Amino acid sequence: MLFACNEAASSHPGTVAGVAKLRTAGHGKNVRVELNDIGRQFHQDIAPALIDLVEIAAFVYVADQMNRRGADDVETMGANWRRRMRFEIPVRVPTLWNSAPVGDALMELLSFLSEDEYEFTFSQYKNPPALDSYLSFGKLVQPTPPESVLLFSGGLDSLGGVVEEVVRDKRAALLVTHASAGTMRERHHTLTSMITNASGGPRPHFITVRASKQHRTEKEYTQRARSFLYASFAVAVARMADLNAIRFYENGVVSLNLPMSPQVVGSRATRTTHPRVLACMRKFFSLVTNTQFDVENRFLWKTKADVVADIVKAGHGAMIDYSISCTHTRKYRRDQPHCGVCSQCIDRRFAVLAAGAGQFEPEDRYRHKLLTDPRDEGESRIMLASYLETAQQVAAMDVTAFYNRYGEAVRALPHIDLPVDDAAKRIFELYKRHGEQIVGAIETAGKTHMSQIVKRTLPESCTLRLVHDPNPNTIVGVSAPPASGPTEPPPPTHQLVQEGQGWLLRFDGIDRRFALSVGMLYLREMLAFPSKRFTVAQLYAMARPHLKDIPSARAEAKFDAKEARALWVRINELNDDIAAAEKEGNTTAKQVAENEKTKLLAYLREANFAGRMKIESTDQKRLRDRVRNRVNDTIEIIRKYHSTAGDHIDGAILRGSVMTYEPADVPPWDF
Amino acid sequence: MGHTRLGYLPRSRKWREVIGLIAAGAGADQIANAIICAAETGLMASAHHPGLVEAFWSLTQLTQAARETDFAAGLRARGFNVPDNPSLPAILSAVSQNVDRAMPNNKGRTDLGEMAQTAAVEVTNQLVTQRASSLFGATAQDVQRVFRDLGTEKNFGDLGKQFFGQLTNKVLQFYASRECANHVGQGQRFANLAAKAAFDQAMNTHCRQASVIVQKFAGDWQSKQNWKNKDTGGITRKHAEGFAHQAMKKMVAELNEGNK
Repeated sequence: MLFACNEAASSHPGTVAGVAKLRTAGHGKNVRVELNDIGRQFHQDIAPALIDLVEIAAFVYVADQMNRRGADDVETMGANWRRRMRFEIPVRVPTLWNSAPVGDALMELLSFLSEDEYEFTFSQYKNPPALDSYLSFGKLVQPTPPESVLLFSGGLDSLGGVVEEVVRDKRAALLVTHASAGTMRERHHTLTSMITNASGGPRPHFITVRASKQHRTEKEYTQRARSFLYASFAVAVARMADLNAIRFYENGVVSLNLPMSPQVVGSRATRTTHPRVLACMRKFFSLVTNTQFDVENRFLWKTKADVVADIVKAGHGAMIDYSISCTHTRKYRRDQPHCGVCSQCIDRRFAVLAAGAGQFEPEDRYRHKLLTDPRDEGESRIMLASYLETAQQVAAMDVTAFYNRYGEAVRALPHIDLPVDDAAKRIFELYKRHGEQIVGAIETAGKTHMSQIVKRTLPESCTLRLVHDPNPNTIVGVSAPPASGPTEPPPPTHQLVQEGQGWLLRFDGIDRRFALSVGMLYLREMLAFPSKRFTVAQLYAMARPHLKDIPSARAEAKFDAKEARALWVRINELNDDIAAAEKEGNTTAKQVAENEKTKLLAYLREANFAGRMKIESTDQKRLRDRVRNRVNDTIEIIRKYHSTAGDHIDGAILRGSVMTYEPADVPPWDF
Repeated sequence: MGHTRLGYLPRSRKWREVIGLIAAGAGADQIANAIICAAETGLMASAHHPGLVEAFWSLTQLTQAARETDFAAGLRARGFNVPDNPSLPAILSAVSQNVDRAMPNNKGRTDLGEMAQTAAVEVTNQLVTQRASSLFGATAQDVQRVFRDLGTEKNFGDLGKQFFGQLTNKVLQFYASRECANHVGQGQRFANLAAKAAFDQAMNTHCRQASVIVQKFAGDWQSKQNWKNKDTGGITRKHAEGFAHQAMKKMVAELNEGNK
């Protein structure tokens, strides 16, 4: 998709398919860019390249939300997840933006951050928008020159950073934060007031930033380019304050964000503050600002539980309740700000419990209580299960096992400011500590709720039951017949039984399982009574005992053309077999073939078939086709996974208006 | 920040069959078969993609570089960004960087390529730590010796087997993990997470067993290619591409047929 921005939009008149026009100013403005409450003392000439940076970041961020990723493109191996985005952007300093080092650095940063393919065409602005159209200068003047610029999202990690830097170390800080929406604003405002009151030293200065598409047309919520937007805005703010660094505060587990499930490949786990992203940002922002610009994450070696523990230790546990981590902001409720379902909510709640800080955040702040509420099938349960499994497994790993499982971790190594071996060790130690903290929290909760777990009074899909349920009645995922003790009878070699949510078919001692299906019910009826003739109406009714009336159940069994042909083909084959056996003097084979022929002829006589097809009603035909198709489908599936069983059943079942299972030798079925 | 996106299996007939088998308690081998049937087209279409090719080619080059007197120089000549006397973590990191560099601006990147990239790192770690003392304990000389050993016909067969086994397990879990957690709980296929973990392990074991099909093929291929191309710079990416595609075909056929 092509995004034609500001003046470049004019070169695509009218509506053009595959072209989106984005304007931050002037006629047709549809992208809002704001940096609010900037202290008056920072009102100075800002390098044009920085204004370009703010605009570019806003365009990329908005485009990221307008261009939908493929949702369930598993069959194309993620071809639709990774998008191709082209931008035409006018800039104030085209020589800078068109230079190879800047272009390459921008591409390297964005392509790793969002895993998309980018192409930029920069042109010279004719009439660039004035900077003032993006900035609003507040009344506040910060008396102390700022010492640092922090990105403050209002979540737990960045709160931990503010407590450390502003409250504990009493540094003069500019906190770049996003403009909160609607009802969240109140909670965010309370938190900023608490921080200001607790600061003790220089008053922290909050600068709110915003970039959004007017007339909301967001199609993609993943927002993988989000940190580029906020970092770029923060860089502009830092340069206004003559600073050459910005700081993220994000715990290392989320920063490295190793996949919590095998389905999480590439940027499906965000790389917002991944060490490689920060390294790319350092390089890119240094080139744009023409300084040695630093971008750091000071919590890389902390887990979220470590961060929470430090907030509590600093005496500011009360602030925890006012921080918000949930991604589902549109479902925000004043009394329950957290959904309890998304990865951030799960991570946050476990961190609070692991840090022993539960008293600072009531459990009912979450719409889904982490430990005891049921989890619906789908993302909620998969997310929780994956999170817990990962934590449990990592807690039990040694360093070799960790890197045997998480090859993704080595991507960070060259971008961490430590010798590679030390960085590898510390990543492992960080993850292991995180795993142990989560396991510890679960064990503690398990002890508290042990009576409910044992009595099974908790919902069966809640966290505690998922982890602790002692029910051994599970189906082990290997295909082997059950072991038998010395005094028990040997297990049956041929079996077809409904078990759990599926069917177990054992044939010649080999097990296969199949999904519940009506076709398997038909087969079981026939297999249980070899040689018994079932009309399709009988089979249909047996599989549906709740039905009172089956339209075609009144119908007598009738031959149809296909069945008659099949019978006569078989009888002719048997005639050939009998003749061949006679010639060879093989009396046994002759007897077997004659027996089968006699049975088939008796069957024909019994059905009073005189060589003329009986007329069927539409209902009868429909019913026969329905039952036969289900039987055929089921046999095909059986053959796919157990060809011997499939071949046997296929060859032994006569399918028509009357069906029967008539093998040459009946295996010892058990039902 | 820190968002993770999860997905679901499509609801087409073949994927519904996979879901039904998971619920019914089918074994790892049967589910592997069903997944491969459902995913085969997309999987084989991705088997030529640069991520997989570069990952496998990198493995061939590690063993080649180890034959040279100066291991680090040999690695650097093949594009690996390593320091002098590289440790195992430095080499693992260089392998990953090499694959990333092959797809600048994400051109040609696919999920299969991503999985191959991490599988190459993981398998290298497994094989070297099995033969040397540990991830951090081995000296640069130990690491070089192990890579040189991995270049023999038999050991390269092991390397190929491990790589394609690991990659296949990742592919199968990439799909299965979208559904399995829905079947954890009382009365469900998995009573608890421990039971699900046992199933994951069974799947891993099944993939390793299936990957035996690649073992001899890989050893023979490497030996033949090295001999054929000894004067022209050894195994190229084109050679690696041909092998990777064939190996994936063999794995798919094995998983399709193996449990019948």
